[in-house]
Amino acid sequence: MKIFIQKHLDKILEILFILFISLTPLIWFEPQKMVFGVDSGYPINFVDYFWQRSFTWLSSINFGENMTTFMGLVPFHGLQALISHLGVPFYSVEKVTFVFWFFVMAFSMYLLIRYLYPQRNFWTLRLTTVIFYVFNLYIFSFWLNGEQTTFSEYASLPILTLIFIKFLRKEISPLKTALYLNFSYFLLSSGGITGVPLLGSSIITIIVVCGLFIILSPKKCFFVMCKRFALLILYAAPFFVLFNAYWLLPFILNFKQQFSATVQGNGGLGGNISWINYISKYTSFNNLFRLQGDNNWYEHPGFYSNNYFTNPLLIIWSYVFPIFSFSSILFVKDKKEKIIVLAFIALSLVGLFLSAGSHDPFGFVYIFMMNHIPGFIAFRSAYYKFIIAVYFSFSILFGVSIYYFLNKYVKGKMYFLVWFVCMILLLAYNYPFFQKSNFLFNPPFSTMVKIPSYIFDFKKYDNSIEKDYRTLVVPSLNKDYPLVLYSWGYYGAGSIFPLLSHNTFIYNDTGLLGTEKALVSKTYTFLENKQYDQFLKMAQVLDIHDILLTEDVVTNYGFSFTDSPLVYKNAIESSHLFHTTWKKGPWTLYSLNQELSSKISASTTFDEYEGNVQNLPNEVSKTLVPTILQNQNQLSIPENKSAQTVQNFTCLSCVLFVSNVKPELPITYFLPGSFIYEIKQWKEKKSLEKTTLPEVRSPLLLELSVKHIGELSELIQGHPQNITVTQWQVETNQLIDYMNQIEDIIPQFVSSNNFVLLQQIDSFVSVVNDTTIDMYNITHDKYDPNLQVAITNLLWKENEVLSKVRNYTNPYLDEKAYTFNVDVKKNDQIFSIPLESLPADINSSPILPSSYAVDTKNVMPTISVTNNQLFISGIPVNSKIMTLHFDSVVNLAANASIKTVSFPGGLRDCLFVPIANYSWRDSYNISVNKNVPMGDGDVYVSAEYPQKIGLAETNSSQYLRYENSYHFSFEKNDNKRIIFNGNQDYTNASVYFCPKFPEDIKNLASDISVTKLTQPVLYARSNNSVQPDNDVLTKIKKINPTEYEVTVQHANNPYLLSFLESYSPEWKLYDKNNKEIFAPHVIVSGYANGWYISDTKEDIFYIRFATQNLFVVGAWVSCVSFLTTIILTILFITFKKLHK
Amino acid sequence: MNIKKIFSFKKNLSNLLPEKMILTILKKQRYRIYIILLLGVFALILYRLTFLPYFNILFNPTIIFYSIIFSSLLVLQLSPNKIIQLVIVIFVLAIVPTLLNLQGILEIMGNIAFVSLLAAVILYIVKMRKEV
Repeated sequence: MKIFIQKHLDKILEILFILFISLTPLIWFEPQKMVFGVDSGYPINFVDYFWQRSFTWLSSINFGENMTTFMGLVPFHGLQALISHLGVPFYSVEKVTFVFWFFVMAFSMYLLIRYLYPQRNFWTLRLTTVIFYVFNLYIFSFWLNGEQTTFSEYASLPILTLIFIKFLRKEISPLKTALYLNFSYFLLSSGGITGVPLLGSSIITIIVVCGLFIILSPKKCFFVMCKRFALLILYAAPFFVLFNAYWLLPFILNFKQQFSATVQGNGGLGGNISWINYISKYTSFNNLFRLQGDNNWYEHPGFYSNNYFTNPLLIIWSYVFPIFSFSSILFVKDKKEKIIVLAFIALSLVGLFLSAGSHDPFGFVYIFMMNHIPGFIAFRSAYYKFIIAVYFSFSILFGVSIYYFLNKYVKGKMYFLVWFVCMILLLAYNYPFFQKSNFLFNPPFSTMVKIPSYIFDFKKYDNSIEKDYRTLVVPSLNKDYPLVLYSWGYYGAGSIFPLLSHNTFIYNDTGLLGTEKALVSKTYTFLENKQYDQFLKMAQVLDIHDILLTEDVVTNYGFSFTDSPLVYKNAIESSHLFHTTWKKGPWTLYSLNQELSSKISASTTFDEYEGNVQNLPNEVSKTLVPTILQNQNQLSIPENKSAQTVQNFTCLSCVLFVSNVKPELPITYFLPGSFIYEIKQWKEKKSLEKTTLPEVRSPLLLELSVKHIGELSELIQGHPQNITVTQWQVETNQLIDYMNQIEDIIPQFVSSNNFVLLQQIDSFVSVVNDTTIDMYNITHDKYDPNLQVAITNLLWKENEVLSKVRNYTNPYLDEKAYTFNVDVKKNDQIFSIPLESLPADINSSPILPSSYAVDTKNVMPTISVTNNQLFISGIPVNSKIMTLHFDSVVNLAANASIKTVSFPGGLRDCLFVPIANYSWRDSYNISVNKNVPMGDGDVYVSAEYPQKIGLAETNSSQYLRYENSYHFSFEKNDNKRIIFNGNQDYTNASVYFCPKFPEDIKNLASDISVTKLTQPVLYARSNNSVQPDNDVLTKIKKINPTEYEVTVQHANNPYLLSFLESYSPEWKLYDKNNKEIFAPHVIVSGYANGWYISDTKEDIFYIRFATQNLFVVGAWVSCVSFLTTIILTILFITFKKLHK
Repeated sequence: MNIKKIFSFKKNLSNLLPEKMILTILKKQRYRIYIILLLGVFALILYRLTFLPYFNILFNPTIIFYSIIFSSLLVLQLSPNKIIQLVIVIFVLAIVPTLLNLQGILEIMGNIAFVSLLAAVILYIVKMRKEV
């Protein structure tokens, strides 16, 4: 033992030192506090959450979520569950987890550096490298959230490098390399497929290290190396598949839909490019060399990062990192060592290049790779994925430099002292590691929080009951920025409920999209407005039996203002529908007094719905039978089986209210006069010749018009001295020709009611017109008079096109007409419009249409008003288009008064229009008639809002906000109109029209308009003679979140089996013999699953989430293969030793 | 251009730079001077073209600038150790604009340091490869 200790004393001491520094996380934890919120994802119920995550369907989130792609994260939750299960107290589980990861990261780096520099005298090099690797501000930012996936990638990088270097030096065989690689990846995988982007640094490290070794190997070794690599791939692949089968198997089955859903979820390619530009805003090489550039560091008042921009000592010290790291190659003399140092310098440069993302000057290369390399889009957060390689290489290079520097310049006893001072300085630079305050990232919100006792009590209570229904959490979150905020410091985008209970809770967080969002939003509105009948129907549809009132929410946070809990408390407590089930502190659980049907039910009667899913909640809240969406599956339900068919028709003209994005003038590469321009023109001509369809030709003509006006603008503004008659003639003639062609197409779009393309013509020609006016002003009295004439002709033509379009669209924009695309199939179809969706007069009474037109002919249908609906009957069969006309619209600006308003630029006289009965839920149509001769002016909308808290609010002293600033100009011919949608916190909004010259106010008064924007919702219903069969009974047994057993009794007719979990094609129906039943699988109530069962003989069904089986099989394969390989390896090593 | 002209050029420059360095470059590496001059002329042409209507912004002047620095360092084949020393000097000098928050200068200094380091690594690899 003594000999062993003497022999390995340096190793033991160094490992003890690593163990000691691994206790650093304990500094951060205050008594009875834990890291919770933001991106941490740590549960409050460790074992229960691990159990939930061991299923590919997470049922505790809203309507359930497909977790197939996230099964690689199961081991992380397993780690905490294991620690908790071993009896570690609740608040210590995270402490143990943090210390564990800190040690794993430090030890992993130690293994690599010990291998590279094994001699005793290199101890300072080894310890410096380890300290640098674990004490830096990159990894610190992840400690604030305790992000385990990043820690695992960070820990695996040195191990993978070590294995590859040993392989390249031929110290281990390809088989052993394959085994070691897979062992380390299995133990330190970064979360399966979701962790692949995190592997960016590992991938480039392996490529750089292998590439350099191959380049610097003798030519004769090249083929040997290739052979070894081929063998490595051959051995590694099967081990990889076997070890990672638990996430690989379900993922492969789900790959296509998950990948495209993820890309689309991020906003498609365009969204990803915007994201990379945002992330790369500060990643200049200068910042990256100094190990800075993290986007979170900048424009973040109160954050620790600000000291690094202002403190001179920290600024100077930040340059020490690149200086020492890159000077390492000047210190080393040994060739073998030089190759290692060179490899890490090369790695740091590749890491720097990729971390810079889309930042100039080489950002275009990154964008090119995102656009053209399949899968590279996964690295959209370039900095966070690749900077790890820079830290990794800098750690080693810095250690090497410090060692040689001290050896060269410091001798004797001073050596240790100077090294110690250097390490203290290194730690001092990373001083946030030793502060607790950094967890308080956005006061009063922190990621280190004390969870109130009533939450633990609720957790205990809720988990003690097996609920197979949902609990609605009130109040609702902000509709635009749904942040979850509690007064005890919690801040996060995700709800806390899946983290504390396996029962299901509903809330309108970011996870809700489409119909689900509309349904939940409507449910909140019904409850808030005390519309109890509709609320009960929604509760039935959404399987809500309980309501949890949380009065500890923060309602006045910056941009995420929420409703007051008192509104809901009042609504709940003033009704006899609810009773209190549980109460503690600010949390109260209410239950419905009446029984609702269960999660799975069978019904012979159902409705069919066709049209806009956003209007589906209105329909769902009116009926007691399930409503299914039409045409959702290849296997469809036979015709006339539904009790009622409801059609919601599209309002064609309402697209005009959605503001169209105006095109920007494109960058012009070639101008008239260049020979390349001739080629361009030829191409343009060819492409126009190919397109004859007006729907295709019009967008092309518009695009070309904008291109040409851009060129003309470039010629006149950019190169006025070079402009020739031939050059501008080409452009103006071409533009006039295009305008003529567009003008010819307009009547076709008018007759086909193609409002989308008419709006496109308006916005494109407006841009062309604006630019032409600028050209007119520039050339006025300065250039060739013929050019002036040509531009005037062009202007005249553009105005003609615009007035043609607007003559048709303006009545619709003024809300005097609405056109619907109707499809009248049957005589008995009854049309209806909810009165609430019609325009209202000054007394809030609905204004009924003054006339009706069907397919351009005026008709006189029979109308009646009952149950808050306008019923219209007598619309001829085979009608396609229906137009509603209104005589009058209430102009809120009729009573405008003059008011002097103080703006930052000074006092201005404006026309002041207070919006009566303003509500943030409504939109307002604000317009200025351009025909009134007057000067320029501005339109502002102001609103009051309450005092806010949090960093997001920068101007909390002023509770009046002016926005939607819109500049109108007499000479410009754009459609002077804005649609105003207020934020959730706005009250008492007003509109200000401020002309440039006060004398214009009188002219303006008669020609401005502020109206509440309304969009009538048109339905048509037809009834089928289907007899209800109410005796169908279902008994359900939940086996686990991915499997249910259903028994159906007394079904004499075909029926719809509804299953109220979020629709997914992976939910499949099986019979008692485990054979899949291929019944039409439809979307019920806009979100859930439904199967139309025609075979009434079947009485027992199993509903299963298909990928769960694959996960179970994969998990077995992974465990068995991993353990078998370990046992075989140990046996092999023992046998080899015995043999020796 | 002949040797005499280069030497007269040398005389002018020698007032600004250390004599020894100039001699080393001019006597032993004169063909590299030609290449750098050519690169310079090429850069100027490209740069000028960016202002012509026919080409407009076809060529990005920033990229041309850094490419020229990169190519010059490779062509000059300065000792890679010298380039590293140069980069270290750049980092030391960059402290001043950082303290003064002059972002434009810092961007340029960072980019020059990056392309120089890239050139140094390539030269190291070439050198080591020759020794294999």
